[in-house]
Amino acid sequence: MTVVPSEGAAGSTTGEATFLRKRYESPSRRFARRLLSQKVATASGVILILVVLSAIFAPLLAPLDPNKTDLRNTLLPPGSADFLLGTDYLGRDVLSRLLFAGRVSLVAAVQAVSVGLILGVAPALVAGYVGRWWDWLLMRFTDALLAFPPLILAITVIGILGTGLTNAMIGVGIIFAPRFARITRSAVLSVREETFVEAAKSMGLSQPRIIWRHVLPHLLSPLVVTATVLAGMAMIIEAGLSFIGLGVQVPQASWGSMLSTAYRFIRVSPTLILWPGLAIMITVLSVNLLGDGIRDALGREVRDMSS
Amino acid sequence: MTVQDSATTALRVKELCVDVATPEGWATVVEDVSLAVDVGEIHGLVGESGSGKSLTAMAIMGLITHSQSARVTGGEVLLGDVDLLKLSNRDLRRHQGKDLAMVFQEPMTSLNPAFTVADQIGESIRYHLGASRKEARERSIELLEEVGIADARRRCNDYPHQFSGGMRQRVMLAVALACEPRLLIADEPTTALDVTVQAQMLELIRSLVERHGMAVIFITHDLGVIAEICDRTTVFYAGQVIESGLVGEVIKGPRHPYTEGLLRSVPADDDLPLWWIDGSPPLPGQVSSGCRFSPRCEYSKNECDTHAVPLRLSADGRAIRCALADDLSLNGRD
Amino acid sequence: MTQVLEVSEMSVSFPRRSGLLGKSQPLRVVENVSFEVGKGEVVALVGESGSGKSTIARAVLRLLPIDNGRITLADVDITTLSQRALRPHRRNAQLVFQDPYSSLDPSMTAIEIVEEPLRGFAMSREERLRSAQELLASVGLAGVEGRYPYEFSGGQRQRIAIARALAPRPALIICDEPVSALDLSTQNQIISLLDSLRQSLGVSYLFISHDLSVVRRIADRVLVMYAGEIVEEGPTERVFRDPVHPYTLALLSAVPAVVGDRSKHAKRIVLEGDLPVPGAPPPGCRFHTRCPFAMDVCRSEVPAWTEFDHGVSGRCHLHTSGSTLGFSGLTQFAEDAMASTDRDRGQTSI
Repeated sequence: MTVVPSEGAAGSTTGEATFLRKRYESPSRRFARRLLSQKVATASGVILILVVLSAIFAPLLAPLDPNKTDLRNTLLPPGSADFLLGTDYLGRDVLSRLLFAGRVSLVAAVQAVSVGLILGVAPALVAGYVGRWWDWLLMRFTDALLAFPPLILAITVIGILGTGLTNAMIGVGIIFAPRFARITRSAVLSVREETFVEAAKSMGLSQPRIIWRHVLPHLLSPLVVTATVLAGMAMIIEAGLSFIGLGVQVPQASWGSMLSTAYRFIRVSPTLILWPGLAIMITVLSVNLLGDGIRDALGREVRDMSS
Repeated sequence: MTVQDSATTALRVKELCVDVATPEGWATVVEDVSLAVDVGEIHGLVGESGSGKSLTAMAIMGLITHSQSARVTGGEVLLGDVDLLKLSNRDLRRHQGKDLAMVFQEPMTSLNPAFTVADQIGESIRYHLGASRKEARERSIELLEEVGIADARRRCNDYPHQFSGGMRQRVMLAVALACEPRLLIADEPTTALDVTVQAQMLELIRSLVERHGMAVIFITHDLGVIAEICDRTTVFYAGQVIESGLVGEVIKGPRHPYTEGLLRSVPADDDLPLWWIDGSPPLPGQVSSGCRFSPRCEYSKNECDTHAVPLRLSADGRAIRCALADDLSLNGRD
Repeated sequence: MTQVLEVSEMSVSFPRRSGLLGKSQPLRVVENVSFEVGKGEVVALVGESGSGKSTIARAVLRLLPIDNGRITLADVDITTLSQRALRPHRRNAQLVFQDPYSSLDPSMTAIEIVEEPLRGFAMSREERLRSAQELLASVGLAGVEGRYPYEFSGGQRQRIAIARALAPRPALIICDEPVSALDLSTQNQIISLLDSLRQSLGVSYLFISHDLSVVRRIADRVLVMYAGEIVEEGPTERVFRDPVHPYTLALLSAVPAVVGDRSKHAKRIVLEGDLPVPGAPPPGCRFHTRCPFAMDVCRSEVPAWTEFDHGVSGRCHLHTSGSTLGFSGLTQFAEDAMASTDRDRGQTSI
């Protein structure tokens, strides 16, 4: 090829080391670097990992059997001998129950979000990209689903599938699906109008390739954020379902069910309600903050505003 | 900078500094910028994108005082005797839209699609001048007529999308002129327009300045526009003022190699080969300690890279930031 | 093969729905346009925004449906091919867009962007990457293959876009305002790059621009569009020297000149008003509502396409209906305007 006017490397003033790093940094490394550079997100991630680990290793960490009743030691305050966080109305150790309940609550959140993602994203991706009557149909259907109160819908699903936490969470996942669908569709609609998608079309790329390579990566960040927000919501809905007895079954505990029983003894033992409440709050908060951090780390590059 | 200690100076900017946030921290992108704009004068700020001319304008307008991505780190912006940078938000708002008005590049996005143009022109008249709804409407119609919108009485009830790009920019001018501002900042107001419409707009702006006698800061990267409409010009490079003076003098006899390069880049009618300045401007935060243009300058000598070059004032009211200015004879355009 | 692209009598409409239940009323934005682009030739399409230039660019690539006409790309009639059958032919014509910020996928590196159009070819991934690297080097971007678009300046991004367009070895590149978002100095670099690529690769350009000073530098031939129609056509130098259509003259005179001396400003024709609303062109000559020379005949009769002695064609009654202000009158007017200095601003509205 011929000699062409060179613009000179814009980064000629950049050091060789940064140059090489920039040149060879893979997308996943870049994501990790940018996520770790955010203090709040990193701290939230660490907290979340601790929560998950404590749930996984609950049998090892729990000082006592979470379901063993001890009617001589009911409603003990925190700091009592052998019971660090006290006992509940049946004399069960609150700390042990809290650790085991974490397993239930976390699994519930993951189940609900996964069901929502599977049911919501794929149809919306096609609907948003193809448009026409597909789009119309999907949107009317999601509108109908969104009009349902979440708890009522979950109760309906439990009525059909039978009680049990997994069934309840499938119900919650169905409630989440339209939210994922809406986010996906609006993101697809905006990405579809981008010039680079038109460029891909004019290059003769196939539709699946365009969706996979040029549309999907740009959905990642809104979806991750939605997923984290809904994961928090799933735990709260689970708490609500357990509260009315449709979620987890006795004597098993979830944070939600602990909250509901503690509520009855709020006058006698006010700290009892604090622990599951704190657990839910800390987990939901760190999931959300981590979600924010992931969004920023995945986010499109900020355009240079100086001009 | 130009010393004009008369009452005719509408705006004086002294040693303004602005930082922007980069992934590596704050970087100075406007450094020690000083300007003076007289009443009735059109002062053109010219430079490549990223040279700091728009940020300078935004700082003057008070638009970056509370931004997370940019901050003013020093200097004064004197409108009359008032230093706008020292005002509280509340006091600043009293000036914004009244004494200070701005026209942006994008005629599509700078008007609110949900309100009629009369509402948008009348808004500041009612807010700043306390006019009644009816008075504001009448004044809006006058302003629309003044900026050359035919059938203004009927069209004032239209929404922005019912106007073409050029007409929308005229509406923007009417909004800006609503409270008879002392200073109008026009940030690339014609860049997004067709040449034919640009010609209409330039003529309109010129006549409005003659009639209202306000001071205008006109930001553009097009030297043709500068030559056509401005009285005085300040050339920006990498956040610094590198040359300023009367438009005719700067174009006929540039004293900074960058200005010469910009002039040579403008296509001429003759068949000279295309000219460009090699390389690109330094990124924010990556400027060298010496002359910032030196890496791209064909006249550069060793001394240019070692010492920072001060902006020097010459006897004829020009300002130049070039260590070699006295030894170079540069070519301009007649 | 001598013609890379042949378009004959093409019209394009946009669907428009009026009211909630109203019938869809098509809005014709390009009317009966014919032109061709030869091998290695640069043809410029100029006009104001809304004149239909970009619509033509997308229509000839079949990115928009056309009402009628015929499009022949590299000797293949692509007018009626299905989108699937069209895909292998798409490589023959590539697009370079105006906005170098939105035309590159921000999630891909420079080399991935240039490699992507090579996927349809029988090449290994290694070959594709090597080829992409060579292409980037050929546009002056060696050694920065792994960077993301945001790390490049506007001019460098446009170079990436050009490399991507060159990748499938197209016969034609359609450049839609490729430099109007760039600084002047960068514009000149890109124009010069495009010109040298044409000489070395023999590729043709359909060059869409509203900036005549740019067009003059690169185009062999110019087509002037007004309100969806081609109003003038001819070799660049001749059109610039002796325009046939008053609209071309107005476009030429609207470009602000860099002159130190205000009195040397050329007298200019400032067109009043705007383009007519698309789909509802005025009767007769579409330009008569803004034309400073409009006569009665212009308001009623559509001017015929006429070829003139100096190789320029156009549609304008001034030269055909025995007006005193004929072709020579038009150029005379321009010369008078240049010479006249009765107002210091040197402008006039007529």
